[in-house]
Amino acid sequence: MVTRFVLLIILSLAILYFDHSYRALSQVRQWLTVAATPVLFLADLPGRIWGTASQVVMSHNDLLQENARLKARNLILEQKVQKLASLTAQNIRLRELLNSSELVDEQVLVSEVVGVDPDPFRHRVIINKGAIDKVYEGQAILDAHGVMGQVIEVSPVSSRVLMLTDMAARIPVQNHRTKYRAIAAGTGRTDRLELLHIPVTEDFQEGDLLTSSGLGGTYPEGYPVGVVTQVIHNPGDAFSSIEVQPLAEVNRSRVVLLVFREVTGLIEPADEVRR
Amino acid sequence: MVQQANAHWVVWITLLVGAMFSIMPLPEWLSLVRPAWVPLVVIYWVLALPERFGLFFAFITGLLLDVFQGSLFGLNSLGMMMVAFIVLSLHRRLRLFPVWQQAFMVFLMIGFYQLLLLWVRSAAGDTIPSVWYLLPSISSALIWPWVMSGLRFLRRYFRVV
Repeated sequence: MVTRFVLLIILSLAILYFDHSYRALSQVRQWLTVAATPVLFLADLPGRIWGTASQVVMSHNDLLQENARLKARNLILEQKVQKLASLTAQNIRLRELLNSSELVDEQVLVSEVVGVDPDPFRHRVIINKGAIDKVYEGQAILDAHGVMGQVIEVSPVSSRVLMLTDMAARIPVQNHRTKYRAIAAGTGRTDRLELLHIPVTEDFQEGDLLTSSGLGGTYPEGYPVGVVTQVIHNPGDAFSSIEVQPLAEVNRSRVVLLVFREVTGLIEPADEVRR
Repeated sequence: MVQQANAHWVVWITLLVGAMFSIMPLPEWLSLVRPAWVPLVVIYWVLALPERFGLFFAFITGLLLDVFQGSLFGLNSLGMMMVAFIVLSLHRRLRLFPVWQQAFMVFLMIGFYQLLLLWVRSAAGDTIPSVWYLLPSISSALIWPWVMSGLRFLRRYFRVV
């Protein structure tokens, strides 16, 4: 028994090492995930039934109220869209004057969260769109309020999303007020991001809106990411500690948007500089 | 009543149900205390039928759990095998223990399992160590008596040998 045990331990460690260092097993994992999809859907069923049930038993009055509220909201949004059309036209004209690249109009695809990572220390979810719907690795995910995360694993009918608040997540952002660029890092808490390496002299205030800067090519530019909630200047530290509340409802949104965009590689501008 | 002996499919069904419980979406505070369902089921079957379900069984189950959870391949199989090894070495004594003492052993084993997972994960840069990580061992120990009697009922009803 002990020999067998030692052999299997070595085998496990070898698999771990190969999976971690070389990502050699991603193809195998993809196909196994497809096989596991029915179970994932089944596990999500109770939540789904609960949602449907609470919709079915919603009172007529509540529905009327909600309808009125949504109509009012729609009106406001439509008014904003009217303005947006003229602004977009203006923007394109100005860009043409500047001879810069065209404004890319991003396409979106609505998707639903069908599973969450059972490990409460990792903020990852599974969505019900995959390679069949042309989802790709590194694709940005939004919800109604802001940037939510990016796709890290694609299988044919589902994909795994890394949320902004995961320990491993980073997103390039820009202070909307001062245009200062920074990197926001996940902290493992659903209500907090952290800005990395901000000099104490830099102007950050509570309530500042951070938008995605679009640098790095993963996240599209200009979507809201979070609001600064706390700025601490510790005289002993070289950098100030800045806390950010993500705008996306990372642990609540069930419906998310996948953003498609042409990947504008970082290589081109660099080549231009070299020339 | 099912007449057929060796109804091993029951084992796989219970594991599947365990896996479903362990990936079911829960509110954050609840998922912190979510018992480690699959290791619990594995502990039961290895304890009940050690000559049928041993290390290799634990290894395969761990790999499947890795697929479900999207964790690193080999992570859960490593932990699961450690647990199975402990159960295999102690199963004669464990069976004679009263339930609360078994629950205490489950607490230790799941604690060790969680700790192992935490070690590998933080070595891979996946998470930060936190004491909360050990909470599932307590909830697993508390729920062990019910898991055990439920699975024992299934084992007798379907005559899994």
